[in-house]
Amino acid sequence: MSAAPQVTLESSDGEKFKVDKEVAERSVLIKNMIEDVGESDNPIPLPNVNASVLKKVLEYCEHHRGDPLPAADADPSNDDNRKRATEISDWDQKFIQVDQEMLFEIILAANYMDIKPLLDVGCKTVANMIKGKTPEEIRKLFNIVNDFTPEEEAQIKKENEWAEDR
Amino acid sequence: MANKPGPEYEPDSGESKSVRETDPLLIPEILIRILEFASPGGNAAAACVCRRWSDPALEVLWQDLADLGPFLKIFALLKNIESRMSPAETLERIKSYGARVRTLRFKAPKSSIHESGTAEVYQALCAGKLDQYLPTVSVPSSGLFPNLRTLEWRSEEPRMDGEDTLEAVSYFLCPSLKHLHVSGIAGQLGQRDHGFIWGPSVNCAPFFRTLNAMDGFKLESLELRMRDFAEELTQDHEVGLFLRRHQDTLLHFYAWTTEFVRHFQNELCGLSRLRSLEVSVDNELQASAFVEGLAAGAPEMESLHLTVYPYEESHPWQGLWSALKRLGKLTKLHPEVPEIKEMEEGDVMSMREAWPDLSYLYILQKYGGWRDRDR
Repeated sequence: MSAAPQVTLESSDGEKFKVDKEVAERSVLIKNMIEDVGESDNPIPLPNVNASVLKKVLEYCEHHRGDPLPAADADPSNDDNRKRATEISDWDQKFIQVDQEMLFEIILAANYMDIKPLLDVGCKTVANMIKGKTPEEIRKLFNIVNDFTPEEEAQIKKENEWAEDR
Repeated sequence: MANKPGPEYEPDSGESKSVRETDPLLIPEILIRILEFASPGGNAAAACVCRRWSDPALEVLWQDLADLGPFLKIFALLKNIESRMSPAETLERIKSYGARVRTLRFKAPKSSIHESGTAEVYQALCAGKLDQYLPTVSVPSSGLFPNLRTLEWRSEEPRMDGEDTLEAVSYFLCPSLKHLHVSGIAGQLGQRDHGFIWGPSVNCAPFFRTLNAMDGFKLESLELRMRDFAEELTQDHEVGLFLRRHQDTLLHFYAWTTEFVRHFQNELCGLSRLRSLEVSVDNELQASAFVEGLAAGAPEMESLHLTVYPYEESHPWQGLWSALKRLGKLTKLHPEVPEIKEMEEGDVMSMREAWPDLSYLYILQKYGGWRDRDR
C-alpha cells in the first residue's frame, strides 16, 4: 500500500505542518491552489493563519476527512438546508469549546481557507451565544458600542417586538 | 486552470485582504451567516445592538414572514409618531421593511392582525385604502414588497369576501413574485341552485388585469382557491392573456372552479412547462378532450388532480382513461370521476404499464395500490 500523498502547510508565523492531501483539501482554498500549481514539495503559505489556529483547524479537517464535500454554495436550496440545521454534533461541540478569541480566529481562518462546514460550526456557536440576550448583553459580550440614539433604538425594538419570544 | 510559471504556491491575493480583519463580526458576510443561525428573538435583539448589526439582523428576521401582523404593526407605530416623522421618512421606513420580505405566508384569522392597533390597518388594507390610514403619506397601492418571491394568502375571514381578498393581495403583487397562492372563502353565505351554500361569485378579472399590468413578471406557480368565480371571468380576456404570457414559466396551476377549463382550455393546454395541475371539469366528454389537449401541449405533466362533475347522462370513463394514459410522466394522479367504481383489476394493471413512475393514485385506495406510497 503506497503512502497517502501529503502536502506541507506553512502558518503565518512560519511553522510547517505536513498533512495528508485529503485532509488539507477540506479547505477549498488549498484544493484550488494545489489544482492551480500541481503537486509540489514547496510548502503552501497561509499568511492569515497562525500556528495555534492552523493546528486547531487541521484537527477539524482530520476528524472530518471522510465527510462528503458540501455542494457549491451557489445553490439556494442548499442554503435553506444549512439554515435549518442549527444543531452542532457532539464532536464539533467539544471541538469548538474554546475561548472567544480562539473562536473568532477559527471563524476567520475557516472563512479565509474556505471550509464551509467549519465556518458554520463557528457561526452557529456565536448564534447560540446571542440566544436569549438583550441588546445590552450582546454589546457587552462582543465589546460593541451602541451608536443608536435612545429614540432610534426604542423604535426598532417596538417594530420587532413580535419576534422577541420566538 | 491557470498555468503558473513554477511549482511555487502563492498566497491568496485575489481579494484585498491587506488589512486583516481580526473581528469576524466586522465582516458583513460572516455576520449575516451568524444571524441566519440565530432565532427570531436573537435577531430582534441583534437589530438593536448597533447600526452595523441592525440591517443584516432585520434582513434575516423579515425575509420569511409567517404573519402579516408585524408589517401592519409598522403602520400603526408610524401613525403614533406621524407628527415627529416627515412623510418621506415614514414611507421610507415602510418600504425598507417591505423590501426585506421574500416570503409572506399569511393565514387569517389565526394571525395577530386583529390585535389592538393592527385591526384598523388590516381593514384599510382590505378596502384598498391604506393611503387613507396614513393620510400624509402616499402609500402606493401595489408593490409594497418589491422583492417578494412567494406569497401564500389563506383568508378564512367570514367578514371578507373573495374580491376583498384579491384586493388585499394586490398590494403585495410585484414582478419578482414566482409563487402565488390565494385562498379565500367568500363571505355572505347564501343558498345556491344545487343546495350548496357558497359565498358570492368572485370576479377575478381585475386581479388578472393587475397581474398583466406588471412588466417582466413571470410566475411559476399560481393557486387560486376561491369557492366560485363569476361568469364575468368568461367575458374577460385578461385570464387568457395571463395564461399565454406565462406559458413558458408556469409549472403549477390550480383553479378550483370549472370556468377555467370551460373557457381557457386552449390556453391551459398551451402551458408547455406545466408539471402539476389541479382543475375541475364540467363533464367527462370535456375532461377527455381537455386531457388529450394536455398530453399534446404539456407533456411534462407529473401531477394531475382532476375533478369531473357528473353529467346528466352517464358517459363511459374509458375515453378519459385512454386520454390520461397519454400523460406518460405522471407520478401523481387524483381523479375524481363519478363512474370510477366500475374499474376492474385488469384496468389497474394496464395503468401500471401506462405510468411506470406513478407513486400516488387516489382511486386505487380500495385496490391497496399506490396510494401514499411515497409520502
